[in-house]
Amino acid sequence: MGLDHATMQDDDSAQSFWKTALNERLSPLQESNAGNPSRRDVQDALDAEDAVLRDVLLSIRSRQNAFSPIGTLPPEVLAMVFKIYADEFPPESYLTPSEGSALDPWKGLAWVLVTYVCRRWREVALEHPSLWRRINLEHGPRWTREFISRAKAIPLVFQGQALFLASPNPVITELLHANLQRIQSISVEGNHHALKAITNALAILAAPILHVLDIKQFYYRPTPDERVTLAHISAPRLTHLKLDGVQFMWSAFPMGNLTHLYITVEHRPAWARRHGGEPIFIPGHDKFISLLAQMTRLENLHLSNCIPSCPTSSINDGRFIKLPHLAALKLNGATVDIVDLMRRITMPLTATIHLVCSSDDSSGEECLSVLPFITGRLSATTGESIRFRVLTITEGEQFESLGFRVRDCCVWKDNGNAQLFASRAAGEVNLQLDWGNPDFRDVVPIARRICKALPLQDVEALGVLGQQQTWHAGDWVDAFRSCRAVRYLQILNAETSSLSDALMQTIREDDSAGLELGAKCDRTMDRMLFPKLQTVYVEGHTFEHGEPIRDPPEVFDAAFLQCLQDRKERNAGIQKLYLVNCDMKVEFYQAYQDAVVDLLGWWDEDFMSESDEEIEEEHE
Amino acid sequence: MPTIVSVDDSTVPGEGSSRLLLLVSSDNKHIVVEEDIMSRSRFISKQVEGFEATSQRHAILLPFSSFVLNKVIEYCSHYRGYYLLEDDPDAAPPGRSPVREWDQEFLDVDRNMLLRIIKAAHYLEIKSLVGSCARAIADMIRGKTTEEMREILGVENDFTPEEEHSPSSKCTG
Repeated sequence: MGLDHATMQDDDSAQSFWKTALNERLSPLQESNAGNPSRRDVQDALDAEDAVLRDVLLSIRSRQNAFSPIGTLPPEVLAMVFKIYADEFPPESYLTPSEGSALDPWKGLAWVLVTYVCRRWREVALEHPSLWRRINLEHGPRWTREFISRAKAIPLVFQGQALFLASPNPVITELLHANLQRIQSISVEGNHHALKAITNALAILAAPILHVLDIKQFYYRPTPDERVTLAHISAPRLTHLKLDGVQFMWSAFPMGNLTHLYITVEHRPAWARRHGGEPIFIPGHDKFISLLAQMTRLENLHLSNCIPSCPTSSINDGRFIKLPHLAALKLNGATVDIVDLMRRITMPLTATIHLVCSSDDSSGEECLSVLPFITGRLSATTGESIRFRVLTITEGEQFESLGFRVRDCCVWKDNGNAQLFASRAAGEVNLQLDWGNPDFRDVVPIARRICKALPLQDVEALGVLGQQQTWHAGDWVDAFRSCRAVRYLQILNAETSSLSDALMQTIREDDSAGLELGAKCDRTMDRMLFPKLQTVYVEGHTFEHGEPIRDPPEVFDAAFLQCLQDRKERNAGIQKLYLVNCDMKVEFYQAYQDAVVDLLGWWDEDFMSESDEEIEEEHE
Repeated sequence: MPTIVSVDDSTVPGEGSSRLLLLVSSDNKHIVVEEDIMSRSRFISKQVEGFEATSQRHAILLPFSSFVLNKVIEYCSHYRGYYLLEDDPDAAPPGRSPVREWDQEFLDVDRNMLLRIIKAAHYLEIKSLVGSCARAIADMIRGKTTEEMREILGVENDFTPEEEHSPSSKCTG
């Protein structure tokens, strides 16, 4: 029975219709009841009516959905919404039983919940197999099977952290074996039990469309029994190979098609393994060079602690590795081996380079042996279009290492709060050098030497991320005297009082130290450190534990304020000062604010960090 | 297919460097817009190609209101002359729809308006706008329960109890 125009406009008629219909249906039941049929029969009859009416109600709801604004979206558009949602909100990681009992069981399904909203959404989702191709192994065999089924015939992507799989799940292993031919990408992290199930499958079965293989073993220091080895793989289309903590037989791989190769055989650098540890498989030096030379399509090469030692007889043997498409290179190993490889590899000048050099030499002298190569390359590069404008120096936390980044910033953007440093994506770094040695006790002199060796005259943004080392005023001036274009300065977790001194000093050209200690005789800005400095961003600084250290005592961290005043008098005033997550005593907060407003004419509460706001609340 | 009515060339100047199009909305509003602005729409481009083949200019009747049409024109005007990968028919489809700050502000409208815009963009074959709208809708339901999604987007639960728990149970494992 359809709805005519009259009933569509008359709520009363709908009510009248259904009341009449119900009476017609239910009255005979009441009469039967009077005729003494069994109560059970009446109950069954009522249940039947109830079921039919429920169906009617659901049918009405389906029609409501069809006429709703979202219901009129074409299915391909709705599927696009689901696709975006699925890409950005994949099902969450595996929940252990104890966690699962405490959490909402719906939560882990993430985007899959759209299939429980209404019939149409479910139909649309199920009719678009591309939504189901990304299979997270952590969700167990039931969902793995379901996703594979719903993905129909399209290539699959297997991924997940199989941390909680104490032993290889036989169902998942079986599913992997059964579907290896249609798997396009495998990206998993796990323990040796879980990973061996995967490497074993790859060793015996062909993976004809596998493009990406990314396997990472969780254990930091696996025993020989726990060591996962990829012995063989039949994957003719493999272009991306990333193995972390997994050994593999280099010669057993089809290397010629690789565009991305990331190998981290051992997490610990050589110096950390010198007192023991099981041997790891690395081909001989000659074989290694030959294999790399075959990979002419490489765009990204990352070798970490797997570079074989170069025998003396092979140094300068004239063998080169031509990588004309290389865009990013990262080498982590012994300095001498890195220098050997860098000497052999030819690559575009625009390639990003990240070197992590380790050495037994606690003085750092050996690590610096890579510098001539880098500076030579930089001078060639800077002659082209690349000019280094951003420099970040990082003191490592773990090994007292020193990180050093120089990057080109093509699109210069004055976004006020110096967030240009926030983007530290590897792809944006033109050159990054890290030196690590547990015996390093003072990385600042090394940093000074690096800075003096590099062409940093175009650097406009400088960041120093300190942990333990102290940069004295002389260090600042000596390291950065050539950085005369710096406009932005970011200091994270580092001491600033010495910087204050440095910013007030005058650079003397003929002094190797570059500093007239305590002298302010030359009042021109030409001989100042960072004469074009406009913005200073200080984060994580403890202002002398909140104690006033100099005169005037009412002003908090007087040295820094004195520096601001001094530069203002020399017409080199800092225009913006940012203090983020800095530790200061409440009673000095107002004094500091007053002083900064007086000097800079600017104080904006909007930029305050949470900790600043807490301080303010406490102050109030 | 849209309804096309013949128009007088004097109504729609079609010659010269800045050619104009006459778009007619479902509420019968006549909107004149530069052809160049609407070139992001594959649908409009195909109509214009048809005009050139027949040497006749037409008004293009569109099945959505002038309010929605003006929003679409605002979008196209903003990106006039810009290359957007999603709108390039020769480019490989992007893996993910990019987040554009201006789009987020532009699409900060109520639910029904957002849905009208995405339908219009789909009709006009403006992939970049469809993608941005789809992202905005996805953002609306992100992390929500099924009940919340229904409430946000005005959807009724039309599952039977049995259907609601199939084809798979809600529990993982």
